[in-house]
Amino acid sequence: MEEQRRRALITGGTRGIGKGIVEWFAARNLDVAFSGRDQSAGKQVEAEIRAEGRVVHFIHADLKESGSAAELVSSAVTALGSLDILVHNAGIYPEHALAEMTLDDWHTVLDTNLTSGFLLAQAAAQHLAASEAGRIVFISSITGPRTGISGLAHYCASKGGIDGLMRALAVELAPQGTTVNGVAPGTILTESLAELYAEPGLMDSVTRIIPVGRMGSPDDIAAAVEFLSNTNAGFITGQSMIVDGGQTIPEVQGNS
Amino acid sequence: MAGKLQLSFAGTTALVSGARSGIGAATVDLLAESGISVIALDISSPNAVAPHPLVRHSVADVTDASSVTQVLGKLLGEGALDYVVNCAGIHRQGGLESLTSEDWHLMLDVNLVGAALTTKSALPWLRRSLGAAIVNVTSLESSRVVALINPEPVAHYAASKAGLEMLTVSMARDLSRYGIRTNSVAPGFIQTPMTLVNHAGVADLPERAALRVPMGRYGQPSEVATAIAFLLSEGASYITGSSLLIDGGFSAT
Repeated sequence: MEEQRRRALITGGTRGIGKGIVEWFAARNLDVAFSGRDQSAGKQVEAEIRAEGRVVHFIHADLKESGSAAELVSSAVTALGSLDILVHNAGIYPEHALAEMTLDDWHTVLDTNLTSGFLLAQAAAQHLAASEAGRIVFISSITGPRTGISGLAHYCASKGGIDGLMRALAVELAPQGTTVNGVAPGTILTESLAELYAEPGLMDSVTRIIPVGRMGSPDDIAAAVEFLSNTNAGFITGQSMIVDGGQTIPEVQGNS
Repeated sequence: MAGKLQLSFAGTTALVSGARSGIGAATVDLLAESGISVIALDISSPNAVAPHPLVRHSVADVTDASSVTQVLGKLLGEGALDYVVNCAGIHRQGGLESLTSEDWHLMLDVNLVGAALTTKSALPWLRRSLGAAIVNVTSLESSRVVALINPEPVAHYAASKAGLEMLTVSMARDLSRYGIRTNSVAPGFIQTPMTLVNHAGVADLPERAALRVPMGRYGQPSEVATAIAFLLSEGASYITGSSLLIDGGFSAT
């Protein structure tokens, strides 16, 4: 008998960490649907992965728009046939100093990063209940739950909120056998971060404070998400797994 | 089963302490199945088990660093050791008022100092590895008070495991200079001989305790072993100083 292939929806999959997760899952024979705001980037990722003979569907969605989360889940289930895994990765991090941050700025970040997580989980829960091993993985951050960064109050609040949402849903969805966990990335070298660190020497100064001696890659996050999504991880729920190369190990050094 | 995590470890060697039963034994089995050559360390001789070609059983006391060094020298010579799983641990009942100085020293010696000394003993061999990693097995009780059997929380066990959590973080920072990663797993209620001896003596305790776990059951040793294997694997190469609770959601309630 042919084994049932696992089916995953990944939000924010056109670039960065999300794209890494989409590629990682597809390469491991999962059927994948992924969303993004950038239609042409999404179509390109879709074409690249399909060229390798994998099942993948790009679904255009902007998660801060009302109704988009439910619509996305519904489209993904239609495309894939069912759903075993929801990975909520989509997130934005515009910088605004407290004095200049408008209520609109605040809402845009909270809606995109946090409220969408609630709406996605709400729409996906019944489908995950039908899976032999339903899994939700939220991409959180060390920034917010562990540390704070000036100019990112809205982002930090959204990621702290994601962890609370994750723990509550872990308890609420346990009776249906669905686990809910988070992965908290440290500094991951994505396209947008490479732009931020273009200034000479800046990259080295960041790498120096990371005990493993390098920045993370999207693959590092994808492997952790895969681990939490696997069928043997059924007793792990309500946890946030920090994947940061040791960056947040609290330390005070006299010689740095 | 589809969706089961597949890890590849061909050609590597691991040391697992507390290997004879429970989580340690499940870890030995899983690592050997994954192609790792395993040194299975325990204070007592192994049961009559079907021998696995990749598993070598050795007797050593983790509170005696020289006995661990001796085993590694004999089995590895000048070779490399890739992984250490510090799983040796004991659990005893007793609240603060009843615990003696001897109770405290034995508990801390085995659960905390034992992990530190085993790792220290293994360091010369770990430094020869190209991608060494360590996992310390702590407990839900390192961060939550659990008093299922007696009204008094088990102070010395909890303190030993909390110490092991901070030892993990300290080792992660310290050993990163050699490229060695260190993480911990913190099991909740797992169906091991140690838990069952503690819980089975009390009428319907396993059932009552399971009701407190959102997942509605005890975990299996193999579920902890899977997490240990992942944290040792290449996929976890950016994870160090992390702790993962495996408790069916108990700590979220």
